[in-house]
Amino acid sequence: MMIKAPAGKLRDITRHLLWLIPLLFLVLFFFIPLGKVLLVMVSRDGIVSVPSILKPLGFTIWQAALSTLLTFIVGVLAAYLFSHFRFIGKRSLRLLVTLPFILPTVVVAAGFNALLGPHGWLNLLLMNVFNLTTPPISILNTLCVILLAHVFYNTSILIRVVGSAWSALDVDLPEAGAVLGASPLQVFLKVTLPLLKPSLLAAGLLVFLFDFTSFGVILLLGGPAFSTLETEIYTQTLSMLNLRMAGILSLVQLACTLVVTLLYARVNAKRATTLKPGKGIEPQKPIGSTQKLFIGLSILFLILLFISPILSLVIRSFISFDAASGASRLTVTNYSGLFTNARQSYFYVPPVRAALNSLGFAMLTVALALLLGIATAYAQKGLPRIKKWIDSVIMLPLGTSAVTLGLGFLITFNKPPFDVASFPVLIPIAHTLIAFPFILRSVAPILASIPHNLMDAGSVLGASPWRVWWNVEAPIVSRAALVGGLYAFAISLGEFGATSFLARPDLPTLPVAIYRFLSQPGETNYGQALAMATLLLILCSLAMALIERIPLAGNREY
Amino acid sequence: MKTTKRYSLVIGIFMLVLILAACQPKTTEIPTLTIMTHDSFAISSDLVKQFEEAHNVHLAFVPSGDAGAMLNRAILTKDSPQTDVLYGVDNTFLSRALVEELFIAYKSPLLASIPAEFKLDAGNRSLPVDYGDVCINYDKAYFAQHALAIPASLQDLVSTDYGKQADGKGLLVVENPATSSPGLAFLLTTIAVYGEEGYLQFWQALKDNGVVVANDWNTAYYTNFSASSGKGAQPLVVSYASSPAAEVLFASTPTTEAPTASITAVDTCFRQVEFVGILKGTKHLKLAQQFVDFMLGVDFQEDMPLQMFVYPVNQDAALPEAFTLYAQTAEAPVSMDPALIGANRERWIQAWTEVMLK
Amino acid sequence: MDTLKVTNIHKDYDGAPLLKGLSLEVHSGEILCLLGRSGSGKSTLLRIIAGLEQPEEGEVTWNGINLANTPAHLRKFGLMFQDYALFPHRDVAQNVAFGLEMMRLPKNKISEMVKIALERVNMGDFAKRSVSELSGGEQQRVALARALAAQPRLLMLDEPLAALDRSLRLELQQELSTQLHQAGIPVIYVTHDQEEAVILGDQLAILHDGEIIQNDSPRQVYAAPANHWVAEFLGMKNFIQGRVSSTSPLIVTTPLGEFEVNKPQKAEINAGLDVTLSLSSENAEVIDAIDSGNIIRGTVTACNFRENGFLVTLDTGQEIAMEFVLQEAPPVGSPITLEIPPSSIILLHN
Repeated sequence: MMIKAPAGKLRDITRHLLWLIPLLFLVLFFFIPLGKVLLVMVSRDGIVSVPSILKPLGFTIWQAALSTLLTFIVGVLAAYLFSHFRFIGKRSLRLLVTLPFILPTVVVAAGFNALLGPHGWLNLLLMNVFNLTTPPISILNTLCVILLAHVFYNTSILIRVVGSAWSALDVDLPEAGAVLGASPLQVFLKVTLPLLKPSLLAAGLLVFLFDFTSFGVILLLGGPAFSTLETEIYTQTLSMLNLRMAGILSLVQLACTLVVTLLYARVNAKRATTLKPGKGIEPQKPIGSTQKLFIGLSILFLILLFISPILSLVIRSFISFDAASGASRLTVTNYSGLFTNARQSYFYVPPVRAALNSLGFAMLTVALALLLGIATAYAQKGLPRIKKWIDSVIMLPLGTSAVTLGLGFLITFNKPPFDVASFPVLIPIAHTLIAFPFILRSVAPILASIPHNLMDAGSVLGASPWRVWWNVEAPIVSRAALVGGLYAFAISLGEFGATSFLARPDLPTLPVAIYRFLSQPGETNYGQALAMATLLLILCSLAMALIERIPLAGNREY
Repeated sequence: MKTTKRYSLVIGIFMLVLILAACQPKTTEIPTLTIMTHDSFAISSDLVKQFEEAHNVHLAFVPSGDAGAMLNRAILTKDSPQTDVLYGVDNTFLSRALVEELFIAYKSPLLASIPAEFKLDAGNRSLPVDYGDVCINYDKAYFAQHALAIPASLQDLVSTDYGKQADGKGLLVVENPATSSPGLAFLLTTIAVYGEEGYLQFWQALKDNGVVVANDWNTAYYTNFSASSGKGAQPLVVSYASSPAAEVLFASTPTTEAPTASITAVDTCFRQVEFVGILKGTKHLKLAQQFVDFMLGVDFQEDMPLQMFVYPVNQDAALPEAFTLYAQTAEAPVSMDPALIGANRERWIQAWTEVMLK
Repeated sequence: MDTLKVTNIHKDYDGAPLLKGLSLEVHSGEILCLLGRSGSGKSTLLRIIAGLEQPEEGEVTWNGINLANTPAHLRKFGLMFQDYALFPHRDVAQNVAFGLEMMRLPKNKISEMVKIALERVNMGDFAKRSVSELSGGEQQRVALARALAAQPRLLMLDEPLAALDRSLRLELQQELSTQLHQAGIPVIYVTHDQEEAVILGDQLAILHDGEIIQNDSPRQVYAAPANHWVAEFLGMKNFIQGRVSSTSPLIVTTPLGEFEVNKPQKAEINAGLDVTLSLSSENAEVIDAIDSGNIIRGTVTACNFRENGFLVTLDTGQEIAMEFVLQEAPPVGSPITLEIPPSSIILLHN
């Protein structure tokens, strides 16, 4: 019988204590606000009709499933591209593909419109080339545009999560398969896919939950013909003031999220892949014309899908359209206009201030999310039985209505010293609720697969547990944490979820400023909104590029 | 490892600085008056300073989403409100706000300068501050180009002149009343004109004529409207009578001609009035009352048009030139008893949804 | 009788030539041990034969048919990877079954063959185990079972025992030798351990500087290493430079004296040829100091116990230190004279 060494016991105690951190966080900032607001909502008077629940529920599941499927197809293709090949502009392309994530939907709508609208560039081009009188592409307000926008937003999750797992795959294994008689397709189906399963599932879960609670895309790009649980909650709460119905819809949404995450935990078998650090795929330059053709077409496709809407709105921000003459010209007045408070408005948002605030919140979010995510990943390692439940609970904020949660924050964090006025950290905390599951999903599979003997080898060589961790595990974990951290950053910058309820006028942020501009007519308002959105994009790109360059020992380029 | 350490240090310091900057210490002994508003609220900084200095108070504004979101927030926190004044409830939400008993009545002396048509709350718990007319805007260039007559009434809208084009869509874009305030206003206009028995037929006719429905004003105006920067396909959009003025003021090149105008014929617009009220539970009643007086006073009323693109209710307030030139007020806008709206709003929206979206 | 022939293979690595015209041949029932230093390109050659990489030049033929257009999964060549490359998402039995699944055999046939394959490597009880739980030796056996179960026409093993400890290695070497000969197919066995190569190989091919510099039976290779490098690689020691002074009997004059050497079978030796001699410990005798040929004189500088005797290091006084394994331990510092019979001296060309 093995007697547990004191060091082992200490490790166990630490692990159990680690639980407290995420637990406390969730109880304080999720369960209490949510519980309070749901109680209040459900106890009010209001008509509840079951078909009004079932119909949006059905459509929500349908569009989320379809969107996730399409995202998978594009994402796995792109993940393959990024993990196996080297080509010019690879780093930039990978960064650009992640940018959509931070864009507020109003901006994406503007971009899609600029590109695909009736007078958008694609239609203008086609009309010119084919001499048509009416725009041939009429994609707005269809299921098509909803799916397209979801793919646009979420593919980067697949690329990063699956791509990094793929590049860490032991390169011998597919070859062993080939030598044993498996054709390239069979190698993919029988060797690669099963090994990628944990990361595919993790990415799939995240994407599905995002699509499930998607709001702006359905409301603005889809239009009134489409109704999901989230848009229904919005309508019932803010327009019909039928809080009871909204509360019930929120509960239904939560229940679905719970079911989905439990399913995920079940399917994600405990047999994790053991990674051999350093034995992954080395990206190669493409050789041979087939490979070059594949790369070329894939890159072109990715550029068309991801970059062209963004490029459209960036270009549009440099254009000034004169309604009277109908002429357009290139100019920077939209940008210079940002720095002047033309009407001496009290609510004028100075761009630099807004940028700094956005950055500040984002960095706080990253720090908090990393702390929580990594603590949870470690705590989870030693508790396989309840791991399933913990996983589901942590993913709940992702599947909770932003409206409901926002209201929950409002009524819970209402009085000083815990209100937003005296406690602005509430804003990054709200962001962290969404961001830390990302870190967990990236880090946990990696942690689970670090071979036990790696740690033991370190110990045997005389290193203290802390040193072993720092020198052996930390480099491996840090790469995965980086991927999660990037998303935490992007989530915070784009202000997902409930934060619109927590805004403070003396701490303006970029997305808030963009919304203000777009809520009034006028060419300069439109132009300045797009200019601000471009600033947001640039800020995000720079920050992400910097974060990616942080030299970490396990920082293998893929 | 060295570079990582350096990076972490830099980031750490940066973060600390930001956190410290964000946690500004609560100032001094002067009281703070907190005003909850919707997100469209705007005011000149000079005016803010003016009031703060005159009354030795610090003003804190809390923008809380659109009118519906703000009202929800007020309702849900009414047992321990942290704000003193609530501005932005409009006549479509008024009865709901009153039912929830959010306000303390205050008979401001400035009410004398406000015409009776705006005083929709006899109990003076909600006092009118501004109004705006939700009207159909049209694209002048489009109508001139196609030699189309401008619709003169609601009924004109079902004419095939404004009906389905080659792409299967008509010339009018409206907003979903369930998710948009101007959308609701327009729905109420049709109910006022055609009555409960007839409005749904009217909407069916509009639907047959290819009317486009957008979920919010933003989409309708910037994606669908042809005269906006989004260059959409529809030359008719439900917007505000003040929107043409905004198009001039916010034009990229200075212009003297508005590219759009509103249809202001009788019974085609809806008058939206916005109110302010002092919240029960305020600890600064006197200051709150002074602020309400301030909002109803000439200085603020004259500042509002160019900040929020709404009209002043105070008849002593003069309109800015841009407004007199380019904005229009409706001849005889529709108005409806707020209590009636409050009682039927859900049902009407539901019925409309059945006809239009199912 | 099947033959794999590799002809004139050129392969570059990182821009520089790695394999520079390599050729070899293997036949059914024969184990060819490919010996060479780490980084010499042994693994690369295996990958080329397996079809996982393409050479810059040269061809690989199987019974005369060029395999250039046959992709890896159709060659039916088995390859055992250095790290075993067991599929972590499959248990032991499923790993072994993989190749059989690719051949689309019926399920019951597969499980039967898997059972047999596992029994053959003494891993019959491990069928349901997870591969991450296996020790190094167990993994190696499973990897072998997997490779053999797929009934390959040729088997290649890339340093299969390198990761194991010495005693396990010795045990498995015997097992492997039996298994591989039983299989009856051509086998290429790559190793950097010359002792292992000798135990397992029917033929030794020595890879150096991108080419095969000697390809012979182990006996021949040890008896007549192709050159100094090979001899050193094989572990031979005690080299002296010298010149052939007479051809029958074959006498070489060196700074340490004259030595009579047995005539090598194949080479032409002429007088005046510069050669290198390597002296081995076999049959070396300690004698009293005399003055004659085949004598090494020196002072003992170290004496260490080894499992098969005492390793005695001595200084011959000409800056040439030598090591011999003797059965007795002479005192350190004492003079010593050894007689080396001609059979213990290997003649090497320079």
